[in-house]
Amino acid sequence: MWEAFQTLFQVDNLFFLFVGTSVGIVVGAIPGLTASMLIALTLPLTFHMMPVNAVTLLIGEYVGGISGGLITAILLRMPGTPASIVTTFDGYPMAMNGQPQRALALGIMASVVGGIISWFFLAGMSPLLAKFALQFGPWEYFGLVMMALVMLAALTQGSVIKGLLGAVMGMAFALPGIDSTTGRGRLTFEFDSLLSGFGLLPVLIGAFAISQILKETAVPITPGPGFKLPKGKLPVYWNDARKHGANMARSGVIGTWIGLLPGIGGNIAALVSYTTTRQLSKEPEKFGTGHEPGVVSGETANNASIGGALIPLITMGIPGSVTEAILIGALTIHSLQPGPLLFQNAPEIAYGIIAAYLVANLLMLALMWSTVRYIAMITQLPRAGLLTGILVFCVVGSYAVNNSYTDVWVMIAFGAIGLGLEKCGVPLGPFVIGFVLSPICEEKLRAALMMSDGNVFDVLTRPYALVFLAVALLTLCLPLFGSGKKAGLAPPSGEGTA
Amino acid sequence: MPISQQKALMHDVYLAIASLCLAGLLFYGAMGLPAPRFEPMGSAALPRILGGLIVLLALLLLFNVWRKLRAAGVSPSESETSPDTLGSAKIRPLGVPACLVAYVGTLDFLQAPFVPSTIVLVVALGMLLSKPSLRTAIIFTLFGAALSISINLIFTHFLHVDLG
Repeated sequence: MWEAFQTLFQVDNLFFLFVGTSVGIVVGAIPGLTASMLIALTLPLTFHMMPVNAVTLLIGEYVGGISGGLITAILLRMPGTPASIVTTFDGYPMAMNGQPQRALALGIMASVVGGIISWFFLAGMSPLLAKFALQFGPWEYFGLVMMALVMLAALTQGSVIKGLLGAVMGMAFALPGIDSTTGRGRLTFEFDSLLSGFGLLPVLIGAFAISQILKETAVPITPGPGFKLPKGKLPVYWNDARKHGANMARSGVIGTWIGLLPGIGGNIAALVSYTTTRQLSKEPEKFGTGHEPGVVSGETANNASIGGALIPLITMGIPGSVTEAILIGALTIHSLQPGPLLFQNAPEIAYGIIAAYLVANLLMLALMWSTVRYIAMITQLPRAGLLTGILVFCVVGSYAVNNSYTDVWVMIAFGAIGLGLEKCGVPLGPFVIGFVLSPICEEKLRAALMMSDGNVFDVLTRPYALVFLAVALLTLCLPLFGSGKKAGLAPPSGEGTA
Repeated sequence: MPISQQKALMHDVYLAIASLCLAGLLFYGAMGLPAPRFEPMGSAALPRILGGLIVLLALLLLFNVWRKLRAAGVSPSESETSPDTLGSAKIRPLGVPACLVAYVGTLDFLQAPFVPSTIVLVVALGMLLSKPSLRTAIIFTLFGAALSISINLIFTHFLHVDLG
């Protein structure tokens, strides 16, 4: 770990971490632009970088992207990211009551504390979990992938059926291409360009960036309400540690553990933490009227969920949300397979992610503390220019993958698919994670069946695999035995997971 | 039944139809794949499994639509005739994808140079997304020129990607 910090403090790595965190904060602060979109757009630029540089840039963007959302959530009641929705409940009333600086100061401090709490879990648990995961064979991995996919589809906002449909459709779109076992083309329908399958990057950029731009531009773009932050320092006191310490610690732990579960995301972590804090409070009636603990609990939990979500990513190669799925794509591009062997084969990357996460949180504190006034101004940039610029970047980024316009057409097609799915209330999270996990799922299942001579019941002799599959089954069945609300037609959700 | 709910139900019907088409493609593609020889599963198994799951989920979705319509006492034909936004409101959402397709088509099929094509795209989108005026056109021309030249410079000289 010490070596990872030494590597991280080299000028190039610090530079990329600084750039990633700064850009992440700005993008996170702009409503409609998300961390996943930013990371997907940056991926093509990381091709030519050293893997450590690429990882530090992307981790910085992730931390900055989630944290930046609090600025507009507090000042404009428009959460920059879905994870900051809870911050609007008390942050905006505080700003309206003449305490915008205090709300921002508490939000920034809470974000950093949440990040640091989850870093301790990340650094402490990851090497141990990775060692444990070394015992896993193909059945266990198949069970784990199924569990992650089902949990993601079932627990995402909206209907379970649509969540599952999204995951299965995502898996189906990963099928075309050369079959790795037989070496023959599959589902290519005589199109040579389909022999290499749909590229991860064009699919990601299309599904997230293009669909989002098309959605944003479908309605007239009106200038935002605007908010001028009064001059003055961000007030924070030593007394705050005593006043909010317990809340931060509890919310940090809640956020980390919710982040660990696939598909739940920072917005739910913040909501659960907010509800818990309100239930435990002696003044629950003050929540929603500009109460400081409300801002603290939400912001601590949503940042802590990032560290939690990174744990299954680096120890088992299982993405907890869309952003982690994109990070898996980033590692794969650099020929790195996330999972337990990452700690043995590329320890500089595994520990580098852990170290970068901590330093990104500290950088985020420094950057947001010193520049929050200017970031609030940047969010007022004309959206027409912003969206046009992003659209050009999408085209160039997709083209740069293979110097081929086929990838650009794929990107446009997946943009249309993503928009259509969202219009029909199908969350994009399960769709993209299904796309990423499909090859792993098939490879592990085929390997498991080969090892057991085609005997499916061999899984009964593998306790861990059985547990994973049982959790998947329970996750799927529980809503059916519940109110039935989720299993049926729920209103379409805006975004499944952050 | 409120119009928004009727629209949501119609979207579910469209989704189910699109899903069934995808399942059909999977089954059709799997038909041409060889039977497993050296391993139990073979390459056709997953397309068939996923196709089956998609059909099942699409049918469940349709069943839900039917159940909701029956509970509300609305026939599908009534829900289809619900008023919808037409005219100018529909043109705007089509403008951006049309510009994007035209831009990529120009770069791909006509091999047009990157910088001028991008300037034209940026101006077109700028006029479409904000109030069209001479001032807007000038601002977006300058923005398009700065954006395309800087992207071209970075990708060509630093990332060795020829944008044309």
